[in-house]
Amino acid sequence: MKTKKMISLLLVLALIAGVLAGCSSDTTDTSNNQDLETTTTENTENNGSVEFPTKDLQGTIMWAAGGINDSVSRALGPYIQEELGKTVIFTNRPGAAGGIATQYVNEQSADGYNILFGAENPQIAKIMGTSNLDYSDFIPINIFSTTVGVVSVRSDSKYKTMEDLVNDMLARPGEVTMAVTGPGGYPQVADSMLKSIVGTEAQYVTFDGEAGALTAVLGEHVDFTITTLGSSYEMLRSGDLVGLAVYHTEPVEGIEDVPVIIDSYPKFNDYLPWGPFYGAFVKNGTPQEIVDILTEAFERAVSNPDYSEMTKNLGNVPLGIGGQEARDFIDNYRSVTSWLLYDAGVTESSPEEFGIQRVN
Amino acid sequence: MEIINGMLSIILNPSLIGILALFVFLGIYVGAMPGLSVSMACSLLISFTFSWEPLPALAAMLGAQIGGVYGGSRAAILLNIPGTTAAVATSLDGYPLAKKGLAGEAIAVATLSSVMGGLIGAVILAIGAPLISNIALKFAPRDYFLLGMMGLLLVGSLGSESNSRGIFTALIGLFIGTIGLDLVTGQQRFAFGNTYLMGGVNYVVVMLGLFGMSEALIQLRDLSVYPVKQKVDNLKPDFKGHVKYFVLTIKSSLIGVFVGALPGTGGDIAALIAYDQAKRTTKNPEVPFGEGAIEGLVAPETANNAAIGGAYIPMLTLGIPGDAVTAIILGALLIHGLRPGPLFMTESPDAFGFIVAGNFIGNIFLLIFGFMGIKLFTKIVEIPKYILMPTIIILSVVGSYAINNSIADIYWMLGFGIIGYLLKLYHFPTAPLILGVILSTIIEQSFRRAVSMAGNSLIGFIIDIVTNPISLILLVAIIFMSFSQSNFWKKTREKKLLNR
Repeated sequence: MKTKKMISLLLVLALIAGVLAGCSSDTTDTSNNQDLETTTTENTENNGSVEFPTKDLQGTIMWAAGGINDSVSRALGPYIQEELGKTVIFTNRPGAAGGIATQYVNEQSADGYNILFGAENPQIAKIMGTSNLDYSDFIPINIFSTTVGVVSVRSDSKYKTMEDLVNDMLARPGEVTMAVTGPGGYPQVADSMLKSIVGTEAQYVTFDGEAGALTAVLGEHVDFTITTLGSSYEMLRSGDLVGLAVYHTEPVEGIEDVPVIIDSYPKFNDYLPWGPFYGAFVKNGTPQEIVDILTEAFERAVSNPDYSEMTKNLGNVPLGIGGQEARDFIDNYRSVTSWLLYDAGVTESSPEEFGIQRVN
Repeated sequence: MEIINGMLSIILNPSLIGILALFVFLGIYVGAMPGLSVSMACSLLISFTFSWEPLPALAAMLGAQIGGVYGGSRAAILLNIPGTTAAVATSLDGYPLAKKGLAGEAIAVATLSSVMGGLIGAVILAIGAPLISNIALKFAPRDYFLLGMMGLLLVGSLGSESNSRGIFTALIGLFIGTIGLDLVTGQQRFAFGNTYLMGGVNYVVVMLGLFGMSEALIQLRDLSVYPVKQKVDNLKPDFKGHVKYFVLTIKSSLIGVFVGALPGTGGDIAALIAYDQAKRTTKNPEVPFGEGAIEGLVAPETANNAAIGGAYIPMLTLGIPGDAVTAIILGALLIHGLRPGPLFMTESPDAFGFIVAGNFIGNIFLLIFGFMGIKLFTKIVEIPKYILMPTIIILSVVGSYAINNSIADIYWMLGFGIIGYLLKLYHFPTAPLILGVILSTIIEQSFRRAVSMAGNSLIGFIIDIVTNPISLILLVAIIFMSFSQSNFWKKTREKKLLNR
C-alpha cells in the first residue's frame, strides 16, 4: 500500500512538472521568467543604445477570440514580426470590460515586451468605477483604427429619415425603444450625444453585444439602434437594415448613400469625429528608446496596404497614429465620452474628480 | 448551382477532406479531455490557420467543432466528467452504464446518435436555413425568458431523489450567475470592488470544479473499490437497433437545431432540453432514466451535434453567431475576407456549400473515428484510481486556466471542487447547479429586456406574453410541464392506474 502511495505521489509530481513544462513552451504565460530578463534589459539600457527586442513579445488582447479587437490585433502580428524580427505571442484576457487585461499588463514589468492590445473601453473605466486603470496609465504605441456609428432601423420601418425618428422620439418621449449594450457601450454613448443635442429620450433595452442589439432590430422587437459599422455592415449592404444617419463628418466608404448626421444636426460637429478605437499600449515607465522602436515598427506595420484592406473589411476606418497624436485622440475620446455619460446621468462621479476636463 | 460547386469543391479536393478528417479526429480527443473545450480549440486554430487559405482554415475549424462536441461525451460516460458543457446531460445516463461495465455500448450509442444528429442538422442547414433564421428572429426577449424558465423545470429531471435538494443547488447556481458587472446598469454585484470578480464566473470553470475536481475527490475517498471490467466485444454501429429510437432522434435533432439556431443558446441547453423531453415522453424505458437508460444517451447526444448545424444558421444567414464557437469561426471568416451575413449565400455560395458539405462529411468521419478508438478508451475506466484521479485534477486546473488565461479561474475551480465534494457527500445533485449557472444570465437578462420593452411595466410584460402566439405556446408548455411534476398530478395518475 505504501509503495502505491509513493508511486501515485511521484506520478502526480511528474505530471505537474510535465504540464508546467508544456504550458511554458506552447502557450503564452511566461510572466515568471519576465523579472529575470528585465534586469538584463535594464542593464543594457544603461549603456546608452538599446537592443530591443531580444525575445518574443507578449500581446494581451482585451476581448475574446473572434471579436473585432482580436481580429485587428492578431492580423497585425505578422507585420510586426517583419519589422522587429520577433514574434508577438497573443493571449486573450477578456473580462470586466477590459479591466482584467489592463490590470494584467499593469502587473508586468515596464520593459516593452508586454503590449496591451485594447479597445476604447478603459477610457471610461474610472468614471464607471470598473477599474482604477485607464489609458493614462499606459503609453499609446499606435491607434490602428477607429470606427463610425450608424443609426439603423428595419427595412420596413416607418422611419425613413433621421428626422422622422427624432421627431417621433420628441413627440413620444420614453416610448420609442432602442437596443443598447449597457452603460458605456457604444450605442448608449452615441444616444447620449443625440440626447444632449436634440433632447430626445429613448426607452433602452439592453443586450449583451451589438450582434444581439441588431438581431432585436431585425426581429422587430425594438425600434432602432446605433451600433458601430463593423457589426451592421453586412445587414446594411443587404438592405435588411436601413441606415438613417452615420456618426461621422463625411460619408463613409461602403455606405456612401447613408446621410451624414451633421447634415441634419450640425451641432454634432462639436463632438465628431469621435468613435471607438483599437490600439496598442505599453505600461507607463517603459524606457523612451523602447517606446520609439515600437512606435516606428507599429507605424510601418499598420500602414501595410494588406492590413488597411482587412481593417476596412471589418467596417473600420484605418488611422495608424502614434506619439502625441495618438495621446490627443484617446484623451479626446475619454473627455467627450465621460462628460456625455455624466450629463446623461449614467455615472454618479463627475469626470472632474479624475482630472478629466470638458472639451466641448 | 454555385452552392453545389462549393459542395463539390470539398468532395473533389482530397487535401481539404484530409484536413477535415484530421481535425475531426483531433477534435474528438480535445473534446474528450475534461477542461479542453471546443471554443478553446477553435480560438487556438484562428492563430494557427492565420496564413492559410480560407477553405482549409474553415475545414480545420469545422472538423474540430464536430469532433469536439462529440468527444465531450467520452469523458462524461467513462468518468462522469463531461468533457464539454454540451455533454453534461450525457453523463446522467452514460456514467451509470459505465459502472455496469457497458461503457463500450454507451459510447457506441452516443457515437451513432451524434452522427445522426449531426447529419440531420446538416440537412436542415442546407434546406431550411433562411426559414429557421426567420423563426429565430421572431423569438423576442420574453420568449428567451420563458425558454429559460422551461429549462429550470429540468431540475426535476436532474435532481435524482429529492426535488427540494435539486431546487436548492439550482438556486446556488442562479446566484453564482449574478456575480459580476450588471449588464443594464454597470453596477458591481457581489464583486466587492475586485476586478476578477467583476468579470463574473465562467460556467465552464464551475463545470470543471463540480464535475472534474469534485468527482476525483469523491472517488479518492475509497481507493479500494476496483473499477468494473468493461465489456468491449462486438462494437459495431448498430443501425438496426437504433431504428427504434427513430422518433426520439428526429425530435431531439429538431430541438437541437432550433435551440442551436437561437443566438445566445447552444448545444449545452439543447442537450439538456432534449434529455428532459426524452425523460417525459419515453413511457417505458427498459432501464429507468438516471440509471443507464439508452434513451437518456440518445437524446442529448443527438441534440448537441444537431445544434452545430443549427448554430451555423444565424451565422450564415444574418452574420450573427449562434453560439460561442460560431462566434469564433465568424471572426476567423472575417479575417480570411469572407463576410457572413444576409448576402453570404448569394455572394459566397461556394463557401456556403462548403460549410454544408463539410458538416456532412465531417459527420461521416465522426462515425469512422468514433468507433475506432472505443476499445482503447474504455480502458481509461480500468486505470487505477490513484493514477487516474490526480490526472483529472491536473486537467481541471489546466482547463480552467486556459479559458481566459487567468489564475483566478483556477481558484474558482478549486472552490467549486470543494463545494461539489460537499454537495455530493451529502447527496445533493450537482447537475442542477451548473444548470442554474447556465440559465441565470439568460433568464435574468431576457426578463429585464422584456420588461423594458413593455415600457418598464410588469403588467405590460404579462400582456405581451399572453397576446403573442410564440410566448403563449411556451407559457402553456411551462404550465403543463410544472403541473405534470406536481404531487397532485402524480397521485391522481397513480390512482387511475390502480383502479384499472
